[in-house]
Amino acid sequence: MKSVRVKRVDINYIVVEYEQIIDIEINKQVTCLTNNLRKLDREGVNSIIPTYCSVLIEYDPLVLEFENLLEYINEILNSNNEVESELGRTFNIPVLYGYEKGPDLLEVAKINNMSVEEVITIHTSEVYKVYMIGFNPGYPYLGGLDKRIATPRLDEPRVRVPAGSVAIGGEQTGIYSTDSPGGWRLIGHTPIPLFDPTSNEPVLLKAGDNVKFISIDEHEYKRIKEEIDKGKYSIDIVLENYHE
Amino acid sequence: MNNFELTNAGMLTTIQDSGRSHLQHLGIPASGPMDILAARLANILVGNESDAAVLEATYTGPVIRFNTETTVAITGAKTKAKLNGFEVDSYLPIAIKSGDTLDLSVVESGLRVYIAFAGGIQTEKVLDSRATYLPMKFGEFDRKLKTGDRIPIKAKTFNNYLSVDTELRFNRHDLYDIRIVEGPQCEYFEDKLKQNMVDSIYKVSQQSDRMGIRFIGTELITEQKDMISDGIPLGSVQITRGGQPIIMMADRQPTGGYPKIAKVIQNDIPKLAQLKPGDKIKFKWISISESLKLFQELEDKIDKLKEKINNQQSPNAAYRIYIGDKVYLTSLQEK
Repeated sequence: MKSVRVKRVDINYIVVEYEQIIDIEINKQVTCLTNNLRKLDREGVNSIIPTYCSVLIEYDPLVLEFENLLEYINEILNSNNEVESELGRTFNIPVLYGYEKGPDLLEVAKINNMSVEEVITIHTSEVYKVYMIGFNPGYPYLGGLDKRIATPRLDEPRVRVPAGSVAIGGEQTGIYSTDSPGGWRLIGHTPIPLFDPTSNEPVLLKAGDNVKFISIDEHEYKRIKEEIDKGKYSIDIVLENYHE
Repeated sequence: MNNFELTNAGMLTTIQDSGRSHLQHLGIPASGPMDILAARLANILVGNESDAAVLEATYTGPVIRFNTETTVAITGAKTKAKLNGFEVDSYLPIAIKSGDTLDLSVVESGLRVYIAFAGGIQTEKVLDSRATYLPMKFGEFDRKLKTGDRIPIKAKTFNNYLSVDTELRFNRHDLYDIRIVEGPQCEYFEDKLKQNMVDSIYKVSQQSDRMGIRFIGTELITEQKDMISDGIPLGSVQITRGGQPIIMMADRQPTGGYPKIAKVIQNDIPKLAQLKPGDKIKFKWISISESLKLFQELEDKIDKLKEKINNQQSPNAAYRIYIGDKVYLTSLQEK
């Protein structure tokens, strides 16, 4: 396979690096290698961390030898099996734009010389790709923000941004999965938890998923929040073929 | 459930087990003990599996009061441990009786002390683990432990009176040699900088914690190529924009965007866990095959220790011998 570098890092890590660019096709190859490695389920593989254009594999050298692991990786890379067609999931994430939990919405509109409504229309019309999960538990790195609403980060980051905040930072958009410090501009809030340590599925999104934001009003926000608190809410997920 | 009580929690004491390495792809940090060797030895000494939960105490250790019979072991930083007021050695199993008090409040050298309990700490597992990740509260005890906390334990006993060779223990140095191998972004740095890195002495900064150990020394500034965030190995050496190294430790974020010039070899990660602000280190480049050889030598020593413990017959009776202000633990065995 072209431009893939497999690098050994000390006695217990291997990093597989694709062309170092942020690109959907390359990210699909990352997902493909990750899924195949998980399917193999080799004893001694302790963790697999897929990112934009690389996969970091941690293994136990007492259980698995470097040469063997390298062979598995090369087999997958050379198998030429097209990126496996699997169901891609699109999550419809309801967002209350503005109000107390989206305090920077007006500023984002002003900086981009448009109305608040236009910002919301643009933000909700894209389908965003989850390239990777990292930084914080359940935090999705999303690709695909419309440049018309790109907005520089705050000069002074906030000490605490509440989980669920939907934000724009430079040419990226994201959802804070946990309470954390942050310098992105907060434009809204979703009642959907992206991370719940006590759940069987602690993290909502995974690499390869798609996200679409749906604008909701205060009533709807309250209703969804109540349903979530009662454990009754089920999120709207649209399944589609990966290759579409 | 049996438990012990912290009559003094110490400065920063947490519960750690083998952690959540396998959940890093969800953005969840690995956590686990900073000194992986000391925690592992403590567990071996009390007959536990290596993933059993232990206490990790930082700066000053806790004072523990036992309400039950059990066996414990102290490892890691050098402490002036006291059992009911009498000095007691580290790196060996200590038979505990109900009512005993173990005082670890004086740490003489090193930073982190580990205490293992036969049968292990039995707090609720969250996300497959009992490990504490301080920035986030996953479970009831996922925080700095407090004076008055009662921690559930299985309270098994494990009568055994073997000790650990000094070379496996923490040893204080004026200058620690930290051996490194190439990191994922090693080629981002010119050869001159890689040479500067090992020619200088780096001092541990105050701003070090379970996420990373920061150093102050010769700046390794290179024309920063923007890199795309990738996974962060345990012990990798990141270079910040200011040119200073940070070594990524147990609570590191799983992914990040600073270039990783090097990775500290597996054998030397425990040393890092014992570094205090102001301590000095010198980096040294070695090859992966040397790292593997050192690793195998260490594993052989640990295997031998395990073998000795497994081959020892259970003693018939355990005794405490008090001489001066010290207590010695011993046993009688039928021939």
